Amino acid sequence: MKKLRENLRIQLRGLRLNQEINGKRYTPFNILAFYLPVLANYVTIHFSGSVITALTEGRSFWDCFRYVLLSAGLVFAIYLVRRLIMRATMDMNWSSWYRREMYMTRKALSLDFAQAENPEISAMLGKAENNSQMYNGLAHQPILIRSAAVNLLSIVTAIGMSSGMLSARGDTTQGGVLQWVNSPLFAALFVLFVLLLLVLSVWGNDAQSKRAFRAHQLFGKMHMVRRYYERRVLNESGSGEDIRIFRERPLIAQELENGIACVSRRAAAINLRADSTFGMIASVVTAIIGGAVYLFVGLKALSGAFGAGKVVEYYGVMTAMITAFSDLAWTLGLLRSNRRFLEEDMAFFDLRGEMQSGSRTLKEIDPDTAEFTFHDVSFRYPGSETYALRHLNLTLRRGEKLAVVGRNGSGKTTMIKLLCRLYDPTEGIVTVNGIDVREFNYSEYLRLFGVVFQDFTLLSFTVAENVAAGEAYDEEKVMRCLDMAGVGERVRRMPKGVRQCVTKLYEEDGEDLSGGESQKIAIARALYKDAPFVILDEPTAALDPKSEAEIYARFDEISGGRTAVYVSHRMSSCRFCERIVVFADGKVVEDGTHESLLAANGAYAQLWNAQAQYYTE
Amino acid sequence: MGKKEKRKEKTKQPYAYFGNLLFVCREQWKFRRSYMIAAAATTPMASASAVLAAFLPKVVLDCIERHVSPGELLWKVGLLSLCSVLLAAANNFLTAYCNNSMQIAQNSFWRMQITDKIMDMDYHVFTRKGTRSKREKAMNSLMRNGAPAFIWVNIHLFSALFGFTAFTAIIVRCSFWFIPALIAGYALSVLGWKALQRFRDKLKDEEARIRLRMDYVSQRSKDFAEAKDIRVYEMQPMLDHKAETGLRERVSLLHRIHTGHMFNTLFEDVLMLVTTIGAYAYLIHLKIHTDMPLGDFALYLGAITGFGSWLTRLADAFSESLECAHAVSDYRSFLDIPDERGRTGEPLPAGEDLPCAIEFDHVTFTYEDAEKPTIRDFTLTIRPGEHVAIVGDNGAGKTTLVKLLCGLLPPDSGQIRVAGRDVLTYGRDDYFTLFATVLQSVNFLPATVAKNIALCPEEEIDRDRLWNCMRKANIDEKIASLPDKENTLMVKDIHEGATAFSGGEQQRLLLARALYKDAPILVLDEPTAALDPIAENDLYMQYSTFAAGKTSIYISHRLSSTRFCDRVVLLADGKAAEVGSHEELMRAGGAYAELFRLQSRYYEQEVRAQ
Repeated sequence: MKKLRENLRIQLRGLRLNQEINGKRYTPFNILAFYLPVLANYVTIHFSGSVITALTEGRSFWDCFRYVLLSAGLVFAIYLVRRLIMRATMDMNWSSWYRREMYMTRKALSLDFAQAENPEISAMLGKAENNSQMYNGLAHQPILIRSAAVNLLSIVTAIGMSSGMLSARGDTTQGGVLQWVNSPLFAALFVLFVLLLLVLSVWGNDAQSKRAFRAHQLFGKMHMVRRYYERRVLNESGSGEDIRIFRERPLIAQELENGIACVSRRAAAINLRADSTFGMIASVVTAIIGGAVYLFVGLKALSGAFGAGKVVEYYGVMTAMITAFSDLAWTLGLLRSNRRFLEEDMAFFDLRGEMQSGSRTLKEIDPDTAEFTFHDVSFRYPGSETYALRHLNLTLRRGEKLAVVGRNGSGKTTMIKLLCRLYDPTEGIVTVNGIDVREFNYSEYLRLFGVVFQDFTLLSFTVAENVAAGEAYDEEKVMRCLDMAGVGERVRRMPKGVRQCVTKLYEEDGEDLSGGESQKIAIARALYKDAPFVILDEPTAALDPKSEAEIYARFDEISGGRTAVYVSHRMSSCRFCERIVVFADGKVVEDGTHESLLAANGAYAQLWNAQAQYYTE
Repeated sequence: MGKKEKRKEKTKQPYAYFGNLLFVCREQWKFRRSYMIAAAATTPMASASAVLAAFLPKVVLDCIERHVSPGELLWKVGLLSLCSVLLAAANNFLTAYCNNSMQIAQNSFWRMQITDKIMDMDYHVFTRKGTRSKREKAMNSLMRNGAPAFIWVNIHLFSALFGFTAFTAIIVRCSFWFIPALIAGYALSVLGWKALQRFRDKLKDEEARIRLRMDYVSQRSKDFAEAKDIRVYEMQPMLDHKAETGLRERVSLLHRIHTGHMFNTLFEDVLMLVTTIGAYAYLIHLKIHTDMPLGDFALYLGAITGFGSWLTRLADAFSESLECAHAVSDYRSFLDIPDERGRTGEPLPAGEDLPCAIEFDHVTFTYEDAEKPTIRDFTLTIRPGEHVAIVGDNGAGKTTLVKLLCGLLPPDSGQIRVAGRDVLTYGRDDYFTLFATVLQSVNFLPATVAKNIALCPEEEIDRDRLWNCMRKANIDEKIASLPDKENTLMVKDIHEGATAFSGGEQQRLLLARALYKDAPILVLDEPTAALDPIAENDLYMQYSTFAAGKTSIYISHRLSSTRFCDRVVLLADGKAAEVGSHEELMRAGGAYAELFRLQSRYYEQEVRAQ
């Protein structure tokens, strides 16, 4: 009972979410649109019975034919209404994927970066995405609810129409079998027999749908592996070179055999077993009930309980009802199995951004004199046991040019992420002019920074949209920033200038850019923001010496009067920074100028010499 | 050019319908014979049970009209019901069996042939533009109503034909004229749908474009690679608006289609009603004016109103079978893409020929669609066991050169010789064994670390060698610290418990992989981009051990890497612009010296930044 209530709660919650996605009208309209043809079928059945009754009574042509016209008129009216409803809901039916994608996009965008990067949450997102692709969970629910409701309505209609079937009595004076046919016992036995068979059919359908669900899960897993291989390994941008040079063919064949072929064999075997036993029961039972109904109404008719017309009507109604019963059982089984997927979906949709946003505004401090201080900050990534930062103390002074160096994993990039509040410290605080950064309005705080991350990305929208990070932009300013970043000429050469899309992924006539050009556009984006802090994280890793030198030469121009932080493995970058901090094991181990640190002959000197030895003779 | 056109013509030739049927039968016969027998056995079943269902009411009504004894009703209805129960059981079982076979065949047999072809075909053919669309079509040919369903669809066609014939036979007993009338009505509705389809086809490109754009926006919004930039630059409103635009575009596209759609469905409804009214009118007339039994009235009525569904099935099966035949053609035309390189050839260099000498002799190579050659008249001789550094701007052709050397791309003109023999004379696959590479873009397999390094099936992995190579590549400590050690799974998208490795760690894994292969020629393309100065220096220091006794090529933007190589090649405009040792090139004072000065300027003690 408790389980049932829990299940109901989840289904209702799913229904509400679906209402948010598809609109309130969607479900009731849909149910109506699919019930109407069922109703039309019952109308047809009823009037075909009437026609036959009229015929057996030997009535005139028009007496018979008016039933036909009446039926046709009614059915036409029903279909007209159905078409009108379908028209009103077509937007929703044919664009449900778009609606779900938009809803999911919105949700994903509302999450904090810490959540977006959290592997647990990205696994949740992955599941919700997979469900949407495979039509599970939220995507499947409206269809299942609709089908359950329509079948239920169909059964109710059928029961209403066939109420006379059991009670009708014929000539009770006949002897033998026919008299017995008219006894209530016969009717009761018939009902019992049909009910038993229906229970059997419901059980068979339910068992089959449960197994079908298991197979479906396996297929889902298989498709995930297949998609990965097809998109990442086996296509042109995959690892065609490696596959050949390292002769990976036998290994990949084996992995595919295990990940796809074997899984599909297992899933298909489950389906076969279920279809050939439970499915068999369901279909055989349907055929048996069909025969039983005919026998029952036939015998009743022979006894004179009702005429041939009613035989046709009752048979039609009963067949429709049996189909509705087995469909309902099937649907209910799926609804129950779908709960698991619904829970997965809701785990994702129930996420809320957690970043603390305060009420202080930037007006309280003068951004131009802002000074950031890390007070004994320690930080651990969610789900990780080791600290990425340990008792970090560091002050970023206004207007200085700071180089941050250190080994892989020493915490440089993590420090940047904390500074931009992509994460909040696990212990300790970060302050600006002595005020805890968490007390400021979050989105206002973000405006302090123009960052070019190590793994920066451009979106495939227009150059201007990328630079301005929005659809409204000041074209002159965009151009000015592009010029400053050294890519203005290149953009002017594009057919549509700043309105040209970057790469062909969003717009077919987009322009493909080299790594260096993209990087310069990312720098222009940081400039456009007019932020008092400019942060460049490893911006030259993929660049050839010429482009690297160009960025170095422009560094002063780029940073202008702003505070600039430059993180790099290329030690040469330290030469144009006034202050250098060296990170090791999540804290600052050295702090000074190039000359003073070289003289100290510590960690910095080691890093410097590792690289410089090759360049100095 | 003439050669290319000829090839195009040859592959364009469509495969004939019956040829395809024969092909699929042959393939399927190899995979599972019982499937074909089972499928054939289902052919008459659908029509047989439909005929039984049509006769059942006739029998009942006849019995009632003639006031037969209950016993007669019992055995007649009982017999018919028994037949339909048996038919239903048999049909159910056979269909389940066929579906099962198809599912398995689709995901193992059919798919494997394509993936195997992808991995086996010549790399340069694989990366050719035309191949891409063929590959995509072949992949799609396995989807619904694709090549694996071809036999089944043909069975459907026959089954629909049976049903059509049986129902025609019933209706003709009543009146022949219903048949042409029904067919004509049906044809009209088909024309309506065809017109709508043509209209939709016109919108297809737009539909696909809207979908792709929507997909792009939602993927980027969800992907955490973009998450940082989106949040720091507050791009959420832009993405949200783009998604909304996508939905709006979709809906307005639907509005263009739906009037036609509504008209067609209404026409179908009317057609059905007219058919029913006509049938009733005629049959009522017949029943009143002749002595037609009541059973026949029901039988004919059922047959006439049910006839449309057979027409639909027949037409659907027909168009499905054409669609399938098309899919089979797509499938075959991918598998039939011919090899251009020889699989067998001269024996590989061994013994005294190792390490190998490499000679590029006036090599030119142009990418398809490229205006000018990427590699132009490139000549270079690499001595056995020599370590060569290749430097040059982004896009100078360094990676292309490596692909040419590894035998992945054939030169347009000129010759590449390894150990004195033209590369093309070696067996294609044997030749790959000469190389161990670290290339720039690599996707790891969703398998264990051990498999990703050894790249061979589990049982063939040499564990000692594996750990030895991981130690050399400086990743052993990291791997040893993981709970599952070398059996840790990679690729988080697929395996929930998989470990994600950082960029630096991935580069080390790739290095371990190249070392594990232990081939006579070592090629490293930017192996240190993500490494810190000390790790980079470690690699430089160990390089002579890795590359000892091998011919090696090292590509990097870090010119420091040239110091531990015997010679430096500066690639510019597809040519070896400068060749020589670091000292020689510095003395020559050319482009390389300029590049080196550019990079070293900030490292020199006395120079200040501008």
